[in-house]
Amino acid sequence: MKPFQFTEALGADPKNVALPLVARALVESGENVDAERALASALLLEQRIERAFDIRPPEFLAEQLLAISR
Amino acid sequence: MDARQLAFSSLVQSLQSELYRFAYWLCKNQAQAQDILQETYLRAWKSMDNLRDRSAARAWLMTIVRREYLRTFERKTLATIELDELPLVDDAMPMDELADVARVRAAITLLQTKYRVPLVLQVIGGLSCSEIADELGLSEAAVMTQLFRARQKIKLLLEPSSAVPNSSNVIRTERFKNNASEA
Repeated sequence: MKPFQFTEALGADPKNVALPLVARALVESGENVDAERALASALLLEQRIERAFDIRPPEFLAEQLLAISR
Repeated sequence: MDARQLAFSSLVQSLQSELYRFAYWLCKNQAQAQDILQETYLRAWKSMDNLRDRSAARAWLMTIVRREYLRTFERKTLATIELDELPLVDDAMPMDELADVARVRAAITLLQTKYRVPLVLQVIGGLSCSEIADELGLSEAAVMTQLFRARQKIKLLLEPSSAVPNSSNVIRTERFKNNASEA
């Protein structure tokens, strides 16, 4: 697998891509000596993005929404 | 509380946090996200009887959120960036991690809509590339490209030399406000 395909695979659908398998394939293929570092960096970015997206709704919102059915 | 109300209450309790995140990152505005959720659940309440398969509720509600966002967007409602007012993920998080969260949030808000929306659909909505393509009326290849570019742009924006503002002051201010309100 070429580095571009690797990054595309990550960008395409990380939830559906078996990342460890991709990493192992890369390392075994020897096509990208920095594969492990690239994978670690990509995974770290995913974690940072997911953490950044994680916001809490205001506490009053649930009560407001429940009031719709009353 | 009757069975219909119970079912509705369950939809609110189980999905409102996720739907709020989804709505917020589409419109980048807390008040607008709250309005979108109100409208979404109002529509859900009115047409709940059509929802025969409860396991499809999440996808159904996300579609309503997205349609409501588009409707709001088409009305050209002003969307402001208000990162300094976003609730913190975890008040006990170390300062450097909080600063990182703020930086990544700032980078995400700087993304163009065509990159941010597929990313939100993927990361928060959990949609696959083909589902995002269906939702946005794009080809799967176009979605893959946009997702790839979205991440590349975030990565670039997070580099030390980028123009993303250092948010440590925002975090300090927010933490101070939280502490003050608890005192």
